[in-house]
Amino acid sequence: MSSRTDRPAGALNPWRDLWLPAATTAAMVAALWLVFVVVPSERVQGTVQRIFYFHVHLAWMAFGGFVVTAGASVAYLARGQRAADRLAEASAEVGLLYTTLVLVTGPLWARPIWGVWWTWDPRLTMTVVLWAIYASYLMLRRLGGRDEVILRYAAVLGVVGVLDIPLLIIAIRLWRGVHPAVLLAKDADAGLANPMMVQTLIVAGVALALLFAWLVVLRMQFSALDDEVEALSAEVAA
Amino acid sequence: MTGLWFLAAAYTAIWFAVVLYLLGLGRRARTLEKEVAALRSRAGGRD
Repeated sequence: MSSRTDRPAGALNPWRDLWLPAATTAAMVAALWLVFVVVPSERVQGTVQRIFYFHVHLAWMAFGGFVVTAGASVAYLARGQRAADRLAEASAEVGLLYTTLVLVTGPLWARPIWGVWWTWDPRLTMTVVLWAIYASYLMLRRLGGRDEVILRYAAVLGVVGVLDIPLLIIAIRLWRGVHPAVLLAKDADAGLANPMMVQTLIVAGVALALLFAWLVVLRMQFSALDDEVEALSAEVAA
Repeated sequence: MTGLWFLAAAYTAIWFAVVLYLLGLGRRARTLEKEVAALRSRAGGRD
């Protein structure tokens, strides 16, 4: 539980309220300009392949977010730090948003390429499992409120849930699904043969990483405000 | 439906979800800020 400080949680913070959103916006505009204007269409898949530049990074950032949740949950379980718990929750929530977008953009890419919206491919199935694990983590926290025992159970789930990620990554090699495993094709005209495609992929990655960081920081500010309300309510009631 | 339709739908979904999440966070944060201000004035009034 946080204690009251001289600086309210909602006070203006230049890094959070100016520099990070400005950097995110600039990177995002550059990424969208590259995706929609500059980068050539992939030879085999055509225009729809441009979904790839965001779809792939949404997945990797979500994985990164869940790893942060697991790490912060370990810190919370070991030392009981409320700041670590806030980071775990914020990272899980934004990770869940990104995973949801992976599950939305995936079928929109699959339909014109595979001819189906969805198939129970190992990687797709493991992604749904990952989504369900962290949705459960967040629901458990909502239902438990500030109960310390529930928060600790949720932290354990936050740690155990991350074990799905290596399974998800190796799922293609283990069970041979239809989801592509490699980015670079041997065919010179297919895959990410054009250097501009690789550059677009990098810029999109930076943009989505900045957006992730900004959303996590905003979500942590929200938790800090919630803690402040709790502390003040206790003070007023005393 | 063309590839362009799917492309537009995917990026629209991404931006719709992100904007919705940001608006939701902003709305909840404003409510909490008001609550903090009210509680601070109540706590201050008792000093």
